[in-house]
Amino acid sequence: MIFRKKVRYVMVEASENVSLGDSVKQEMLKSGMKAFLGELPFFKANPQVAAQLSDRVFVVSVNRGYERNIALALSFVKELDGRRMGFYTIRTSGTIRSIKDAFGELY
Amino acid sequence: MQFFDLVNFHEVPESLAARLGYKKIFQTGKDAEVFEKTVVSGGKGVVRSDSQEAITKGLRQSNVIGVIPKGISAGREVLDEVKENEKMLIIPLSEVTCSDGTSRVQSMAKMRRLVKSVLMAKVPFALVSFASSSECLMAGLQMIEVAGFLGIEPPRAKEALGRLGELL
Repeated sequence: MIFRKKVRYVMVEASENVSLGDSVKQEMLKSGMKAFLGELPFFKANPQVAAQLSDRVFVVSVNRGYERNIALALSFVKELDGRRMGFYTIRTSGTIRSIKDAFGELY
Repeated sequence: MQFFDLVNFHEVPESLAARLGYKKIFQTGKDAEVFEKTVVSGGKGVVRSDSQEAITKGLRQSNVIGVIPKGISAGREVLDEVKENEKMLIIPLSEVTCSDGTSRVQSMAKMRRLVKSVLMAKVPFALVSFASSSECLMAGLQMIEVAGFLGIEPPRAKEALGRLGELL
């Protein structure tokens, strides 16, 4: 039997160019979310950077049912790597393919 | 349902508004005026003051659509004036999301108190970001979540996000 990970994908746009390729910056973003959500809800949501689609757009995977918490947490994250920036949640979907399709349509 | 936002800075690209889920993002100085002390007749606008007198005077003008409470608080008199003059209270959510540290906790508490009194007094209200820079902007979805966090149920939040379009 194949167990599928029950995750949702959230397309996020940053107000400034951001490169989340290295794990240090990913951890910075996650700690910003954790500071707002608290440890337990953060670990339940388990947000992970799944893909970077452009200089400003990336995809966060999150456990199903917690995508709204992530949208809320990202509203309060205003700094990354010492730079002021905001994060906007553009689209939420169940597959990364549909997120990529939406990215193609929107940008 | 169509959403609208009001921001306090210029140069918001139209494509960004669509991506964030808004039909239009109104800009102060361009689409709406912000009257701090005296209301000037002409274009439509909002009153933003902590002086009761300025708010009362402003709300009686026909080109004023509502009031943005300065310092995230509005007394009973202000709420009554808004209701009486059939205007609306405009709640700026970026004052909560864009503040830091201790001031964020304080502004959250103040905003929850304001929301509670607005809902109890049944005053018509609109939700806007009133962002002063691009990092303080939020998507429509985020606005609904922040509103929910402050005690506004999603159906009411959605209604409040669309209200600005009817008046501006």
